[in-house]
Amino acid sequence: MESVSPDTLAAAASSGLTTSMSSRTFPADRTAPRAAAAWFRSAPSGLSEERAADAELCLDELVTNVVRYAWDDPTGHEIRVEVERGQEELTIAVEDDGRAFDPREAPLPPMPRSLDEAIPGGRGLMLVRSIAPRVAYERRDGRNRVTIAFPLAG
Amino acid sequence: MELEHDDTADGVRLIRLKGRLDLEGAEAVDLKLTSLCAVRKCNVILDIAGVEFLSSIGVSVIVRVARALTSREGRLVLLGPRPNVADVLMRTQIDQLIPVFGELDAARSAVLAPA
Repeated sequence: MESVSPDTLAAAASSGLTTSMSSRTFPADRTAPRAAAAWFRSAPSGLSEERAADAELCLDELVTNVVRYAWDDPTGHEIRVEVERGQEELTIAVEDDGRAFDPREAPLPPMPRSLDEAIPGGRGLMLVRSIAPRVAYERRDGRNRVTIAFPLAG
Repeated sequence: MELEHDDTADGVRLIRLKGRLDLEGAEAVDLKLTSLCAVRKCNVILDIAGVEFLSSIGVSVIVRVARALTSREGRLVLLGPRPNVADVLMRTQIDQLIPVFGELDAARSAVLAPA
């Protein structure tokens, strides 16, 4: 495997010619969505303020979904979040080792016409699918990897 | 997530939420909010001006509370969402089911209006 010094990576990132990537792992519990969102906000994303807020919401929704549904009991599991800034877009990947789940294909609840029809759940993926310009999914080595992408400002 | 409430002389229960209404925030306020709204003929203004972030799980809590109130002849209106929060209400079309107001007076008139 080729080794790249941190200096090379930093230079490449600052020149804008290639990508910069950072990742962090969060314990899969109810604190994970907020922790992941805070981590995402802590570094400049290169997105416009509005798009950064959209991205933060989508990240929160994806992590929330994993915490709630990926395992019967999430205790001891982890969620890995990766943020990659390319030349034209910012991608956020959320990875877990829970049950296979493709968020692009999950059925969405119908838009309710009354409060009686409004079921309490199911809106998270609807938000992600309506907000994120691109959603990708991969299942590999027993892991789910959901990637969302947003065009960078400018 | 902070929650406080006042019962006003005209019979309106004003509940203020402050903080992030995400998974953690929703779990923190769910029980208290539900019990404050499990009352017959209760008209509630939910002031969400202090809610800096709303996710779908927070929307679910709001929907559940609204249903609990209407099933007991009460009513729920929302007050003062920030633009990002209003955006989530709009995208989920919850603003079509639960009235949203910018001003307290308008929220009060609506929640007290005869059915």
